[in-house]
Amino acid sequence: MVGHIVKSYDKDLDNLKKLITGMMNTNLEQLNLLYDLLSDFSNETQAKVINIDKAINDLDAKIIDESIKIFSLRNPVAYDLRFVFSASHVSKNLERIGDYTKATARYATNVSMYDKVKSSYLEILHILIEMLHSARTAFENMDVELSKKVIAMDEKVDLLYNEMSILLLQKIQILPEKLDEIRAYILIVRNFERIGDHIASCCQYIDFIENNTMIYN
Amino acid sequence: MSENKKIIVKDVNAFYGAKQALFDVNLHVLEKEVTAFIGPSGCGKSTFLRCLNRMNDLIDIFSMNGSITIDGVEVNSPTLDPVELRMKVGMVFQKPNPFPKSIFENVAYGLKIHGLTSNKKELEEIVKDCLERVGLLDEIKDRLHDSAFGLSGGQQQRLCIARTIAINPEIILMDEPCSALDPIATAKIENLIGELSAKYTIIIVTHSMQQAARISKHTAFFHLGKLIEFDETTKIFSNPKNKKTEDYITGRIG
Ligand SMILES: Nc1ncnc2c1ncn2[C@@H]1O[C@H](COP(=O)(O)OP(=O)(O)OP(=O)(O)O)[C@@H](O)[C@H]1O
Ligand SMILES: [Mg+2]
Repeated sequence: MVGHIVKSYDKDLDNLKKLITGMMNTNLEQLNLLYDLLSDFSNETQAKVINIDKAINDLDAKIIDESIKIFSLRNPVAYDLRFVFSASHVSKNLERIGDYTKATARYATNVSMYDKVKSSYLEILHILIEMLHSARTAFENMDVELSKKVIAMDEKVDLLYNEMSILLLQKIQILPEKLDEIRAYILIVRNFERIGDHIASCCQYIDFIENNTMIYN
Repeated sequence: MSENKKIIVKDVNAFYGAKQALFDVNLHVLEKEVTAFIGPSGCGKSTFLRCLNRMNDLIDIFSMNGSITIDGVEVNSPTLDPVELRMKVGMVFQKPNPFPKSIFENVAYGLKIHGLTSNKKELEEIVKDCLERVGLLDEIKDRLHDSAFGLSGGQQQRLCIARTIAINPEIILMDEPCSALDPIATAKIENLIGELSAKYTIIIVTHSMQQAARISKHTAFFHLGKLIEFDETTKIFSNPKNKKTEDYITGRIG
């Protein structure tokens, strides 16, 4: 698309896009640390995951500020309107991902993962990281095809979530004395499912920005 | 709300001498609705607007072909009296242009020359009613017989609208009616346009996208003498079909 007559408008939009992809990078860093945490269960890693959430909240606030500034100064319409509107929604989704990641880290050291659970969790987390990575690339290039692939990947996460919940509920019956621990597993996998949804939701805005279509699932 | 096509425009081409200013314009304007014309300077908005009440007749080198009908009657028919047409199709200009007369006379003038009333009391009532409808009466009721030039720009523009509606037109053409006004006066005119659209068919040329978006139901985008896109205003400003429209409204081409 050709640039605006007012060059500084392009700069504002470009800056907003960089803030979003930057925020996605921060979320990625946090998810990667969570992956480490679920492998090593170290307190130090846990603290890092929890701390990054502050940076994510700050980025969200910054993106909302910038969006409001563009709304009031530029009166965006059409493509630009969809872009600025979407930026704040994507940012809110990323902020939620940060919260779920932090909450997961809080539970993570209280559990002494069964191998089966651990490998499944790492598998889901691996998919989530891949999804967010692709979401960032899709957002950078406004790549609708790639964004749809990410949305499709979320189905795999949902599938694994369902499998795990059934398995864990059965475990509660067999091992009632491990109730607290298993409850933590359930909350973790539930958080993963939520994170997958929020990444997919970010991707829906790419099609909305490009084609004014919004598919709700 | 009627869906009646008040104005139907078919294959209109317009020329100033050899220079073509409009190319194959086709569109319709719905009755009792506000339609906005937008587009870069020189794209032919005013030319097109003036075709609708034959104001271009006053320009020697002007010529046009194609068909424009209002209520099914051909505007350019030789049997149609342009003065009568302009009573039916009133016009408000970019710069407020009151007559060098009193406020009262400005509104009464058209009524008198068109012989719409000879009764002094009735005349006074109509004038006051028109001033009331444009929200001017309260502001100037003690100054009715003072010169119209003593009014502020925004008041003068509302006076011109009162003058236009006094002769009871069916269509009101407005060529950038707010471009010389401050935001408050603009808001008052926009509000007035909204109210007037219950009774009149209104076409407004504006350079403010936000204004077009706020007040019109349909929007036509012109570029280099061509009608590029004509659609519901919400569609034009949220998801235009044509790339040129998108580039223009988002500030990418001028
Ligand atoms: N009286 C005239 N004689 C010759 N050419 C004219 C005349 N009036 C307009 N034109 C030309 O016709 C074209 C369309 O002009 P028009 O005034 O209709 O544009 P516009 O869209 O109303 O522009 P603006 O937004 O600046 O008012 C322009 O190229 C203009 O120079
Ligand atoms: Mg003009």
